[in-house]
Amino acid sequence: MPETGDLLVTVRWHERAAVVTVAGEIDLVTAPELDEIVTGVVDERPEALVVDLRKVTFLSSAGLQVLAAAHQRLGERGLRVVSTSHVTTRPLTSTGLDTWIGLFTTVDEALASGTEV
Amino acid sequence: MALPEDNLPEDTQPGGTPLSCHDVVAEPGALRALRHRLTAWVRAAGVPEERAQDIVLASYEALANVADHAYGGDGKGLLDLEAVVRPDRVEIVITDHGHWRAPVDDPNPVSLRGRGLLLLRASADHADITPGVDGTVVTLGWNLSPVRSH
Repeated sequence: MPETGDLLVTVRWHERAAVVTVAGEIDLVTAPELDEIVTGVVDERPEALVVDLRKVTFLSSAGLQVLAAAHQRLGERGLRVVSTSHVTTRPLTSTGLDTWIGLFTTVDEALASGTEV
Repeated sequence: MALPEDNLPEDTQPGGTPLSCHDVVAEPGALRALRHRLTAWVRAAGVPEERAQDIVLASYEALANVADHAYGGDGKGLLDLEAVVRPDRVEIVITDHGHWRAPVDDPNPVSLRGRGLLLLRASADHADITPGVDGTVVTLGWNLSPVRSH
Protein backbone atom coordinates (compact mmCIF):
# COMPACT_ATOMS: atom_id res chain seq x y z
CA MET A 1 0.00 0.00 0.00
CA PRO A 2 1.76 3.18 -1.12
CA GLU A 3 1.45 5.97 1.41
CA THR A 4 1.35 9.49 0.01
CA GLY A 5 1.50 11.95 2.86
CA ASP A 6 -1.65 11.17 4.77
CA LEU A 7 -3.39 9.89 1.65
CA LEU A 8 -3.74 6.11 1.51
CA VAL A 9 -4.30 4.63 -1.92
CA THR A 10 -4.79 0.97 -2.78
CA VAL A 11 -5.14 -0.52 -6.24
CA ARG A 12 -6.88 -3.86 -6.83
CA TRP A 13 -7.72 -5.54 -10.10
CA HIS A 14 -10.89 -7.50 -10.82
CA GLU A 15 -10.00 -9.08 -14.14
CA ARG A 16 -9.77 -6.05 -16.46
CA ALA A 17 -11.37 -3.61 -14.04
CA ALA A 18 -9.28 -1.63 -11.56
CA VAL A 19 -10.50 -0.45 -8.17
CA VAL A 20 -8.58 2.45 -6.64
CA THR A 21 -9.51 3.05 -3.00
CA VAL A 22 -8.53 6.40 -1.54
CA ALA A 23 -8.52 7.50 2.11
CA GLY A 24 -7.57 10.94 3.38
CA GLU A 25 -7.66 14.49 2.08
CA ILE A 26 -7.30 15.25 -1.63
CA ASP A 27 -5.88 18.75 -1.93
CA LEU A 28 -2.87 20.51 -3.47
CA VAL A 29 -0.57 18.44 -1.25
CA THR A 30 -1.86 15.02 -2.25
CA ALA A 31 -3.45 15.45 -5.70
CA PRO A 32 -0.14 15.11 -7.60
CA GLU A 33 0.56 11.76 -5.94
CA LEU A 34 -2.97 10.53 -6.55
CA ASP A 35 -2.63 11.64 -10.17
CA GLU A 36 0.54 9.60 -10.51
CA ILE A 37 -1.15 6.45 -9.22
CA VAL A 38 -4.33 6.91 -11.26
CA THR A 39 -2.33 7.69 -14.41
CA GLY A 40 -0.34 4.49 -13.87
CA VAL A 41 -3.57 2.49 -13.62
CA VAL A 42 -5.04 4.14 -16.72
CA ASP A 43 -1.82 3.33 -18.59
CA GLU A 44 -2.74 -0.34 -18.07
CA ARG A 45 -5.87 0.29 -20.15
CA PRO A 46 -8.50 -1.06 -17.75
CA GLU A 47 -11.97 -1.78 -19.12
CA ALA A 48 -13.31 0.13 -16.13
CA LEU A 49 -11.74 2.19 -13.36
CA VAL A 50 -13.63 2.45 -10.09
CA VAL A 51 -12.39 5.17 -7.72
CA ASP A 52 -13.73 4.63 -4.21
CA LEU A 53 -13.87 7.96 -2.36
CA ARG A 54 -15.84 6.81 0.67
CA LYS A 55 -12.92 7.35 3.04
CA VAL A 56 -11.99 10.72 1.60
CA THR A 57 -12.56 13.56 4.07
CA PHE A 58 -11.81 16.48 1.76
CA LEU A 59 -12.04 16.81 -2.03
CA SER A 60 -10.92 19.98 -3.78
CA SER A 61 -10.73 20.93 -7.45
CA ALA A 62 -7.20 19.53 -7.53
CA GLY A 63 -8.75 16.09 -6.97
CA LEU A 64 -11.51 16.74 -9.50
CA GLN A 65 -8.83 17.40 -12.09
CA VAL A 66 -7.35 13.96 -11.47
CA LEU A 67 -10.78 12.38 -12.05
CA ALA A 68 -11.52 14.51 -15.12
CA ALA A 69 -8.18 13.59 -16.66
CA ALA A 70 -8.84 9.89 -16.09
CA HIS A 71 -12.30 10.23 -17.58
CA GLN A 72 -10.90 11.89 -20.69
CA ARG A 73 -8.45 9.06 -21.24
CA LEU A 74 -10.84 6.21 -20.45
CA GLY A 75 -13.79 7.42 -22.48
CA GLU A 76 -17.48 7.19 -21.80
CA ARG A 77 -18.51 5.01 -18.82
CA GLY A 78 -14.92 3.94 -18.18
CA LEU A 79 -14.55 5.88 -14.92
CA ARG A 80 -16.95 5.22 -12.04
CA VAL A 81 -16.78 6.96 -8.69
CA VAL A 82 -18.05 5.57 -5.40
CA SER A 83 -19.16 8.41 -3.15
CA THR A 84 -21.64 8.47 -0.28
CA SER A 85 -20.89 11.69 1.60
CA HIS A 86 -21.63 15.36 1.03
CA VAL A 87 -17.93 16.15 1.22
CA THR A 88 -17.13 14.12 -1.91
CA THR A 89 -20.45 14.14 -3.78
CA ARG A 90 -21.03 17.90 -3.58
CA PRO A 91 -17.88 18.90 -5.51
CA LEU A 92 -18.74 16.39 -8.26
CA THR A 93 -22.34 17.52 -8.64
CA SER A 94 -21.84 21.27 -8.25
CA THR A 95 -19.29 21.27 -11.08
CA GLY A 96 -21.45 19.02 -13.28
CA LEU A 97 -18.81 16.30 -13.45
CA ASP A 98 -21.42 13.76 -12.36
CA THR A 99 -23.08 14.08 -15.77
CA TRP A 100 -19.91 12.61 -17.27
CA ILE A 101 -18.67 10.37 -14.49
CA GLY A 102 -21.03 7.79 -13.01
CA LEU A 103 -21.57 8.02 -9.23
CA PHE A 104 -22.32 4.88 -7.23
CA THR A 105 -22.81 4.00 -3.59
CA THR A 106 -20.88 0.71 -3.57
CA VAL A 107 -17.90 -0.73 -5.43
CA ASP A 108 -19.93 -3.77 -6.50
CA GLU A 109 -22.60 -1.55 -8.02
CA ALA A 110 -19.93 0.45 -9.85
CA LEU A 111 -18.25 -2.70 -11.17
CA ALA A 112 -21.55 -4.18 -12.30
CA SER A 113 -22.72 -1.07 -14.14
CA GLY A 114 -20.78 -1.95 -17.27
CA THR A 115 -22.16 -5.47 -17.56
CA GLU A 116 -25.86 -4.71 -17.47
CA VAL A 117 -26.14 -3.54 -21.07
CA MET B 1 4.22 31.81 8.68
CA ALA B 2 3.81 28.08 8.54
CA LEU B 3 0.98 27.01 10.76
CA PRO B 4 1.55 23.84 12.72
CA GLU B 5 -0.93 21.18 11.71
CA ASP B 6 -3.42 19.90 14.22
CA ASN B 7 -1.98 22.15 16.88
CA LEU B 8 -4.80 24.54 17.34
CA PRO B 9 -4.39 27.83 19.11
CA GLU B 10 -6.67 29.09 21.86
CA ASP B 11 -8.55 31.40 19.51
CA THR B 12 -10.42 28.56 17.84
CA GLN B 13 -12.82 28.25 20.75
CA PRO B 14 -16.58 28.61 20.34
CA GLY B 15 -18.33 31.83 21.10
CA GLY B 16 -17.93 33.72 17.86
CA THR B 17 -14.27 34.70 18.21
CA PRO B 18 -13.04 35.90 14.83
CA LEU B 19 -10.27 33.92 13.17
CA SER B 20 -7.40 35.99 11.86
CA CYS B 21 -4.42 34.51 10.02
CA HIS B 22 -1.86 36.83 8.48
CA ASP B 23 1.14 36.33 6.19
CA VAL B 24 0.38 32.70 5.41
CA VAL B 25 2.72 31.37 2.72
CA ALA B 26 0.72 30.45 -0.40
CA GLU B 27 2.12 26.95 -0.78
CA PRO B 28 0.31 23.61 -0.44
CA GLY B 29 1.51 22.59 3.03
CA ALA B 30 0.75 25.93 4.65
CA LEU B 31 -2.63 26.15 2.91
CA ARG B 32 -3.52 22.69 4.22
CA ALA B 33 -2.61 23.77 7.75
CA LEU B 34 -4.71 26.92 7.33
CA ARG B 35 -7.63 24.80 6.09
CA HIS B 36 -7.38 22.60 9.18
CA ARG B 37 -7.41 25.67 11.36
CA LEU B 38 -10.45 27.07 9.55
CA THR B 39 -12.22 23.70 9.82
CA ALA B 40 -11.70 23.63 13.59
CA TRP B 41 -12.86 27.23 13.90
CA VAL B 42 -16.03 26.79 11.84
CA ARG B 43 -16.97 23.61 13.74
CA ALA B 44 -16.30 25.30 17.07
CA ALA B 45 -18.60 28.10 15.97
CA GLY B 46 -21.44 25.56 15.82
CA VAL B 47 -22.01 25.69 12.07
CA PRO B 48 -23.86 22.57 10.85
CA GLU B 49 -21.54 19.96 9.32
CA GLU B 50 -22.52 20.23 5.65
CA ARG B 51 -22.44 24.01 5.78
CA ALA B 52 -19.06 23.80 7.47
CA GLN B 53 -17.81 21.61 4.61
CA ASP B 54 -19.03 24.15 2.04
CA ILE B 55 -17.32 26.97 3.91
CA VAL B 56 -14.04 25.10 4.10
CA LEU B 57 -14.19 24.02 0.45
CA ALA B 58 -14.95 27.46 -0.99
CA SER B 59 -12.30 29.07 1.19
CA TYR B 60 -9.74 26.47 0.20
CA GLU B 61 -10.49 26.97 -3.50
CA ALA B 62 -9.90 30.70 -3.05
CA LEU B 63 -6.62 29.98 -1.27
CA ALA B 64 -5.62 27.43 -3.92
CA ASN B 65 -6.30 29.93 -6.68
CA VAL B 66 -3.96 32.34 -4.96
CA ALA B 67 -1.25 29.69 -4.76
CA ASP B 68 -1.81 28.56 -8.33
CA HIS B 69 -2.34 31.88 -10.04
CA ALA B 70 -1.58 34.98 -8.04
CA TYR B 71 1.94 33.88 -7.33
CA GLY B 72 2.48 31.57 -10.27
CA GLY B 73 2.84 28.58 -7.99
CA ASP B 74 6.27 29.61 -6.76
CA GLY B 75 5.09 29.54 -3.17
CA LYS B 76 6.66 32.86 -2.26
CA GLY B 77 3.51 34.93 -1.91
CA LEU B 78 1.70 35.67 1.30
CA LEU B 79 -1.99 35.91 2.01
CA ASP B 80 -4.31 36.87 4.83
CA LEU B 81 -7.53 35.22 5.96
CA GLU B 82 -10.13 36.80 8.23
CA ALA B 83 -13.22 34.89 9.30
CA VAL B 84 -16.12 36.11 11.38
CA VAL B 85 -19.27 34.32 12.47
CA ARG B 86 -22.46 36.21 13.26
CA PRO B 87 -25.76 34.72 14.44
CA ASP B 88 -27.07 34.52 10.87
CA ARG B 89 -23.97 34.64 8.74
CA VAL B 90 -20.37 33.57 8.25
CA GLU B 91 -18.06 35.86 6.33
CA ILE B 92 -14.54 35.10 5.19
CA VAL B 93 -12.19 37.54 3.52
CA ILE B 94 -9.02 36.33 1.80
CA THR B 95 -6.52 38.89 0.62
CA ASP B 96 -3.45 38.33 -1.49
CA HIS B 97 -0.90 40.67 -2.94
CA GLY B 98 -0.61 39.14 -6.40
CA HIS B 99 -2.78 39.19 -9.47
CA TRP B 100 -5.93 37.10 -9.65
CA ARG B 101 -6.16 35.21 -12.88
CA ALA B 102 -9.63 34.30 -14.08
CA PRO B 103 -9.91 30.88 -15.66
CA VAL B 104 -9.83 30.71 -19.43
CA ASP B 105 -13.15 29.71 -20.98
CA ASP B 106 -12.90 26.19 -22.28
CA PRO B 107 -15.64 24.59 -24.37
CA ASN B 108 -14.62 21.12 -23.18
CA PRO B 109 -17.08 20.19 -20.41
CA VAL B 110 -14.50 18.07 -18.63
CA SER B 111 -11.60 20.39 -19.14
CA LEU B 112 -8.84 20.32 -16.59
CA ARG B 113 -8.89 23.96 -15.56
CA GLY B 114 -11.33 26.47 -14.22
CA ARG B 115 -13.11 24.07 -11.91
CA GLY B 116 -11.81 25.74 -8.76
CA LEU B 117 -13.68 28.96 -9.34
CA LEU B 118 -16.82 27.00 -10.23
CA LEU B 119 -16.57 25.14 -6.93
CA LEU B 120 -15.92 28.35 -5.05
CA ARG B 121 -19.05 29.99 -6.43
CA ALA B 122 -21.19 26.88 -5.99
CA SER B 123 -20.18 26.42 -2.36
CA ALA B 124 -20.74 29.99 -1.15
CA ASP B 125 -23.98 31.96 -0.90
CA HIS B 126 -22.10 35.12 -1.80
CA ALA B 127 -18.77 35.35 -3.56
CA ASP B 128 -17.13 38.58 -4.55
CA ILE B 129 -13.71 38.76 -6.17
CA THR B 130 -12.26 42.23 -6.36
CA PRO B 131 -8.95 42.61 -8.16
CA GLY B 132 -6.93 45.64 -7.21
CA VAL B 133 -3.56 47.10 -7.98
CA ASP B 134 -2.06 45.70 -4.79
CA GLY B 135 -3.69 42.30 -5.03
CA THR B 136 -7.07 40.65 -4.85
CA VAL B 137 -9.73 40.53 -2.16
CA VAL B 138 -12.06 37.52 -2.13
CA THR B 139 -15.12 37.96 0.09
CA LEU B 140 -17.21 34.87 0.76
CA GLY B 141 -20.47 34.74 2.69
CA TRP B 142 -22.85 32.08 3.92
CA ASN B 143 -26.28 32.54 5.44
CA LEU B 144 -26.98 30.54 8.58
CA SER B 145 -30.24 29.54 10.15
CA PRO B 146 -30.10 30.76 13.74
CA VAL B 147 -30.35 27.30 15.29
CA ARG B 148 -28.00 27.77 18.21
CA SER B 149 -28.85 29.83 21.24
CA HIS B 150 -26.22 30.62 23.86
